Amino acid sequence: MAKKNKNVATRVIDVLGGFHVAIVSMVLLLILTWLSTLEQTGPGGLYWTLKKYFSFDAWYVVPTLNGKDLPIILPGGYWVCVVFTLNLIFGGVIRMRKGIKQLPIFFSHVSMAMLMIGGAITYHQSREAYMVLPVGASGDFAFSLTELSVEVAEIDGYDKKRPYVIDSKQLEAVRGQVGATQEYLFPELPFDIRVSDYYINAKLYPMQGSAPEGAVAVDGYYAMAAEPTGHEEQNLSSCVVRVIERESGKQHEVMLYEGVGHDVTVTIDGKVYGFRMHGEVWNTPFQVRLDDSRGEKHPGTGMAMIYESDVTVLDSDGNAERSFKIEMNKPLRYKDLTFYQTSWEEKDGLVESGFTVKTNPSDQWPKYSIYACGIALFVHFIIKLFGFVSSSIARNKHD
Amino acid sequence: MTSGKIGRWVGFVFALLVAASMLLYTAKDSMIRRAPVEIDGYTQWDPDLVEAFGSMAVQDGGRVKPLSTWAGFELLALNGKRSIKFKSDGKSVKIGPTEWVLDMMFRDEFANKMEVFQVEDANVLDMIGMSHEGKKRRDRYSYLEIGEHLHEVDRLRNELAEKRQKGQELDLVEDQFLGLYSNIQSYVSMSSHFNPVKNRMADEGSPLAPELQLFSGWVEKWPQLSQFLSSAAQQEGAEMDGLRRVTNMIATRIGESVYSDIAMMPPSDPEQKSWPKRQGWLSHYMQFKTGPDADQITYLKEMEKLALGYTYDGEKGLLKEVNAYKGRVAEKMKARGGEGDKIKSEIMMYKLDYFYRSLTPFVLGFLVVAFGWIAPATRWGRVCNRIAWVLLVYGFILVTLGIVHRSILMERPPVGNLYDTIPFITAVVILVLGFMEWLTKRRVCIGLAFFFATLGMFLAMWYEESKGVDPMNPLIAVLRSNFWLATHVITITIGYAGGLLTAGISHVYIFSRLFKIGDDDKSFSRFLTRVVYGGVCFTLFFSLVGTILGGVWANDSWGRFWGWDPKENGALIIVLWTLVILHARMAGYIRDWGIHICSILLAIMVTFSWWHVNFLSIGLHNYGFTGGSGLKAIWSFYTLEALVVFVGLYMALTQGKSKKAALPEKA
Repeated sequence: MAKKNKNVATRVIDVLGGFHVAIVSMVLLLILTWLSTLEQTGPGGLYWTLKKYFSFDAWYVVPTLNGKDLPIILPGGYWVCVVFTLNLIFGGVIRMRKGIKQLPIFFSHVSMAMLMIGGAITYHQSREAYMVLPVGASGDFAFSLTELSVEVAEIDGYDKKRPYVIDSKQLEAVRGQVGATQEYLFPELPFDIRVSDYYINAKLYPMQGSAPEGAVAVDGYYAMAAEPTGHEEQNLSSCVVRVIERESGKQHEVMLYEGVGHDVTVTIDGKVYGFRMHGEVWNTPFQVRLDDSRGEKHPGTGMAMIYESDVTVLDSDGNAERSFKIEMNKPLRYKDLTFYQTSWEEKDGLVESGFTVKTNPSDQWPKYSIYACGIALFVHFIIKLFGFVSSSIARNKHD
Repeated sequence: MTSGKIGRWVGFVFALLVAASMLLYTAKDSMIRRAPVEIDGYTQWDPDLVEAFGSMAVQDGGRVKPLSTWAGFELLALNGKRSIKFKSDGKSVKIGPTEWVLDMMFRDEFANKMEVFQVEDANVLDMIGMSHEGKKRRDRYSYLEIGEHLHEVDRLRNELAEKRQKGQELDLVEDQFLGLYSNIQSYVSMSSHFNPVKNRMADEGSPLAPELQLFSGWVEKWPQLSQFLSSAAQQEGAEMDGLRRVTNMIATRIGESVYSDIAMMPPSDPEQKSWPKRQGWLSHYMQFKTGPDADQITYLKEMEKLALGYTYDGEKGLLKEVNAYKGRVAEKMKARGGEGDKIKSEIMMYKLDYFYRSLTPFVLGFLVVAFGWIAPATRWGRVCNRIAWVLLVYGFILVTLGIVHRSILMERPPVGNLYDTIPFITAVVILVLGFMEWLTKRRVCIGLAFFFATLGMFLAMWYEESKGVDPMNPLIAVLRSNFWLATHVITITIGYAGGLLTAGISHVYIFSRLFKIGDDDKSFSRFLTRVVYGGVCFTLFFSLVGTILGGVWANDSWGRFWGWDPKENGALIIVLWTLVILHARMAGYIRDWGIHICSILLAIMVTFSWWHVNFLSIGLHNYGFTGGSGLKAIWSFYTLEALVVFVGLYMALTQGKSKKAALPEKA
């Protein structure tokens, strides 16, 4: 009998849905997971290791072990997950034999595919930032611990006008790049700026005599690059900003340092402009007021026992809308945002609570998928176990 | 002799060797390597006093526990063992943790001579210029020996603290030195606890007012008395000399008071959770850097009663004071919501020592099963089998009782830290292999159950000894969720158990094929392969569910389902590998040999996820110990398993070739 001629699409589905792709992608994912676990212990830490192994831009990976590059090239983890998900859909769902016996495995494949797709949505669509509130205060913004921005704003007395933000994506061109310079144009302002000498982790030193070779001295200080720590949120970045007046061509130079909590100012045409480098700000759609916060340590130790907060969500007029209690393992989920109790500090009688604020359209997908998959696999394996037990008992009787 | 018979004898000899090595490991501390230290004149403490003193309440590590538990872990941390052996007047003496604490607190002339400071590497002592002639590289030292170099110890400690502050990494020896320093601090804290109040300020016949004959009286009235003493210091006369002596005595006692950080008495305010620790309070108070504290003064008075009870009336006096003190403290603890009401139960748990006791039926059972292997189909074999079952059930009950008792004391599900996983995994392995044995009746699974059970209990003992930290201390805030501890942690732990027992069965397959055991029974290999396949399915189910439940928990705690934490990665590796095995089997890429070899690799991955990640010192799941011996043991295991994999691969390839050679030629 002649073989049926398959079209290209069918052939692609056959290949992508085959066992060999399943096995190869799982083995690759295993190797990437293992190598990234070991590389996390190095100077790069988790943040940079994940960027290297599992980011969208990482088409391939050259693993590093004990500071040395290994002589292998592996496909990037993100793309291996894409292939694996396609394999799940084509092989585990579409091509899979359908029947009552195969139903549990079918459902478990569907739920795993849902898990992987949920992961992709999380990667591309989720956003996370950090909000710190003292008790009694309210806030409507959070800031990123890992993505930095440079803000420029006109300062009028004690008021700061709407800032112009150069976000982390725009700063990629200079971030950690030795000798790199990038120009940013501000048509609405009388100047443009040039950012250079962006150190991912820097130490600021006061000038004593002359600055060391290669360091740029600004306003009596210079920054030296330090080895980035393994925790991105602990790195303190710095950069040099050259402000170029458009009309006169006059230039001003300022040093921005993440560890400094205030603006560095430049006066141009009688107006004061503030420059600042800090975590990218994310304005939340509603205000949150911290009514009370309690923290307790295990007696006689420094180990946290309880951190919990009473918060009230305020409407646009500042009136109380709803009250919630946030505890460890019990976040507040409200209007597409989730608030997690992350930290708690009491200093000189003032209590401050730290919340991780997150938005993630696929937040609950893993929960649903594991419930479905767990039930399906349980049914499948119980049937297999029953068969094994019955045949063993029958064999023993026969013996 | 048939291959089956040879194989059974091989199995029997192997079991004997395993049992012998385990017994040797247990007995290693009894074997005298060099002459024990001589502490002449030592007398044993009254057992009633030891029991009463050991049942006093102490707050440590965030919970209230019996002094005997606290003492046990202090001794483990310093000494690596829960007992001390020495010679006194020609006789061998062995004392436990409570007696050791009694010696430190009341008879330091003996305690200081006991060799309790275990030093892993003699290079640590070279750093402080201390001689270790006649001792091994890893040996024990007394406080008397180390005490001569305390100045150097302090100097070096400050140096290393500065180094750490600058962000510089310390090498292994420097880390070990800091460990020794911490142990010295603990020792001094314990031994100086009663020092300020061991003696009266003046005898009962002295002209001083009765309350001023005690140090606590001076402390209580210090704001008024200190002025009087400072003016007396300016004047002359015999009376003034006496007061100046008092001032010096007070200064000495204040100096000795700063080291103790033991919390032995609950505060009077039932709402206050932390029990007072003396530390620098007395010194600051007497220098007017801090105000009076009623709880601290009460604490000092209570300790004074105990100390003077011993000083003036010996063990009898101390026993009387201890019992009276416990009565007063019991009232306070009752008012604090029954704090300490589990002390008796905890003492009983350590007395029953379930896990250690379970070793006897497990080792015996392994031997009995092995004896049964010699002639399985005979009456002898059947009797051995029945005895083995009784021993297995008995051992399992002991392990389960231990797990349940600990859960009741901790008021949480049975697995909350790395130590807890060990007896739990052991219990699961016994249960599953026992069930398999009941189904299959091949006497393979039961033998494996005994083997794993013995290994598991030894691992628990070794881990506890090397870590020296109370594993029943409360958990950090993020782990305090009984729901998740009961679901995610339990399922993942069962997954680990599944991976290990599956690999164990694959070892039996590989070695039985290597030694041609069961060659006369083809169904034996098929049976092992079916069991391993089932084991991989079991491991996949629990690992997958446990891993994703962990992600759901992490999402509720930290706002991210998956953080690529090493422990999470380890669990994912197990899930992926079991999936690879099942899919490869389904696709026909691997058959019997392939499944078993892959199953051995699964054991390596389970070990990586269960143990190795704890040595990586990173990640939210990092709560393990970083001792060199632990890492060595892991790498030894990897090497052993890699060897088994190579043996399996060799056998698979050679058997494959001989099968091809045996195929008839086509016409």
